[in-house]
Amino acid sequence: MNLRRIVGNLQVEAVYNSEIKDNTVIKGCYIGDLLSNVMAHAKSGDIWITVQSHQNVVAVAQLLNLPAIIFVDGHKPQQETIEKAEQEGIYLFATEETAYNIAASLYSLGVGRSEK
Amino acid sequence: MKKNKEQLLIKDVMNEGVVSVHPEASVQEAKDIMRSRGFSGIPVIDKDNCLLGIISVADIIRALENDALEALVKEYMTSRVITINANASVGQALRLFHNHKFGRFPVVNNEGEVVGIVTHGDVIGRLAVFLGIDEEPLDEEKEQEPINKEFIPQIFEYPIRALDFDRTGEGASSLKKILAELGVSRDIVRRSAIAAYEAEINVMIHAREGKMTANISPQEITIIVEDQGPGIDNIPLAMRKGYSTAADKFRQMGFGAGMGLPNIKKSADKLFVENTCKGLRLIIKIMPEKIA
Ligand SMILES: Nc1ncnc2c1ncn2[C@@H]1O[C@H](COP(=O)(O)OP(=O)(O)O)[C@@H](O)[C@H]1O
Ligand SMILES: [Mg+2]
Repeated sequence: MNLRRIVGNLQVEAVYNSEIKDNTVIKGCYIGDLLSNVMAHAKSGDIWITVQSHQNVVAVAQLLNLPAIIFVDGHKPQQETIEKAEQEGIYLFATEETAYNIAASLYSLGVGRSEK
Repeated sequence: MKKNKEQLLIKDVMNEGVVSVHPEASVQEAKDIMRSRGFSGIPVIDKDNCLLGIISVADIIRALENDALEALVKEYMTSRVITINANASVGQALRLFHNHKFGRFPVVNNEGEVVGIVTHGDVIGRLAVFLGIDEEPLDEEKEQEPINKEFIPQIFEYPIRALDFDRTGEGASSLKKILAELGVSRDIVRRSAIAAYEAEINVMIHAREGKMTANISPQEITIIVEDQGPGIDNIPLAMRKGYSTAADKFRQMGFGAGMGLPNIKKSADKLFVENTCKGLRLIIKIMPEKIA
């Protein structure tokens, strides 16, 4: 599902302003704060929900082709994280909501459920 | 105007312009209409707009077998027609498609006049649009990855410096970009990226500094990560999932799950972990040709 459509239906705010490209498609979702778990289990095209806000998350997202990261529970990414994400073209969103609520919304939007 | 799922009716998804054929027309004419319009069945409707039957490819084949293309449509059509009301829900239509093996149903209004036709594909397609699941998934297979099996072997080197904590992962990032540009398959790029990343992080959090070297050829990618650190006393123990001696400050950042070495092992076709006089050396081999 197109990322633009997803964020239009979620209680999240863009961390930096940028036009979401048309072909940014989200295929699933992974939730995790342990980077090695994310490395092992997140799949290309997943949107990543985390509370880790340091710039290493951008490296993880870039390595795994995760198009976007949502920082939940009110966590805000650090300035260097934002700059690096802009450079790498990874979209960042932040929310006061819990990971559970965001994931539930994604699920009801149909994220990760369309194939089959 | 947005409607509820419950309110999505057949009249919202049906095709309105009905292409029909007269009962007195010949099978040949019906066949020509079907061929030119690409339909596999059309309703048979008389001049009073009364639905008499449906003629499908199967009926045409029967006529062909009898060498009877000149016969009348009404002689070959299927007259027991199941219709669906324009005000029925798409759910009812799906059930109908499921229960009967017909590919299409004529849609009638309360007066029994044919007002449209609905196919299984119409229902599913419109439902997908309605639910917003109609977008083409960025299918990796479909995206046609350009796998390049012939490129000149390359050597990639990247220093891992103790003070560059914030930049850790960049060695793996650069390696990933190089592999992708060379046209290495996605799975191999992913596995190389995971292994290189974990090894790079380990140097940063457990040793001091080190170096990543990758020998890249179409047959084999060898990633060597060497550091100047304490090495590992008990290698089998360190290889266990969840085993970690990482400092708290790293754990708070999400490192130190004790999954790094296991992740490397899983991503590699071959892994050698050895202590050197200076620290630790990992030799990670990933072989594109090998079918796991
Ligand atoms: N380069 C290294 N130098 C010294 N010790 C290491 C190195 N890499 C790994 N180790 C040891 O192996 C353990 C397990 O590593 P790993 O599976 O990557 O887990 P983690 O890095 O999360 O602790 C580490 O906690 C550490 O004790
Ligand atoms: Mg590790």
